[in-house]
Amino acid sequence: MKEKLKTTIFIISIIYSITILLLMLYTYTTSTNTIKLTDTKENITTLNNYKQRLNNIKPSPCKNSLNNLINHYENTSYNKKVNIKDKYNEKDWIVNYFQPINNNCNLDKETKESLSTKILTASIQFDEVLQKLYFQYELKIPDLNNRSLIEQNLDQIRYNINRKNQLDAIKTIIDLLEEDN
Amino acid sequence: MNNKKLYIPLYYLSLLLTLCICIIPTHHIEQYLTLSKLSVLLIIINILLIIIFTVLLIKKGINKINILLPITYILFTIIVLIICILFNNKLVIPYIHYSYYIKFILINYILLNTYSLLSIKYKKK
Repeated sequence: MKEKLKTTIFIISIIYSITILLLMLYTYTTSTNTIKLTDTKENITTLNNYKQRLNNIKPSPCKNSLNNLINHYENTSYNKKVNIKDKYNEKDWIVNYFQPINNNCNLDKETKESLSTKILTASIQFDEVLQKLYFQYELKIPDLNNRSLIEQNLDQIRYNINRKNQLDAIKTIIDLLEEDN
Repeated sequence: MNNKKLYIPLYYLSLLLTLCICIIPTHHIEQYLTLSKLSVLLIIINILLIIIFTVLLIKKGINKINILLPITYILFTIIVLIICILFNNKLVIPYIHYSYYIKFILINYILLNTYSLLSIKYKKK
């Protein structure tokens, strides 16, 4: 009886080791730290249009803060595979640009709320995509075929929302600056 | 592959390796790197089994035993560690996978401990 139990544990241990290692190797080989993102030509044209409008506005701290946000938009305007680890280590998030705008621009309560919603939505949408790629260490067998069909599109949709909200935020402040001008 | 003399050093080498692995994630202070409750429970079970095995080994000695099991365990642990290091270079948060994979190593160590305990010599009355 004891010998049978010993043999059973021996076999279980060997099978367990092989299974876990195979699953772990599979997880490692299928995990990725890159994501393909494409900013549309329309967005780039809109941004260039906003930049032209901004050139006609006299210099001010608010304009400088907005210029920083525009630079951030341009730096994060991708048309390639982005390395998530490098992106994360840059620590260049859109929310970093909200506080200077909030301090330097004369925003009324309503505009401030609408602007913060846009910037937070832009941040959350894109951060979610990044977060999905932070934690790819678990043992799992994902339906890669289905993911390649659905999630890839979702990433791009979220990135589009991020772009749209950033552009809306930029437009809101340009309108405000033009009014003051 | 029966070798009683070789089994004991291999068993304690496995123990040393397991201890090293338990220290790696706790070495990093970040909250998400602390050991899970399941891992702590597995560590406690393992410690109890190690103590029982060591006491019985000194008192009674061991029977016929297969050295393939500790060898498999050591190889398994080393490969898991290598993949963890590879993960470390690839993913954003470093060392997170150590705290995740440690439970799989500890479960395997329980199996090794149970096997060792079953190999203890008992005198028939």
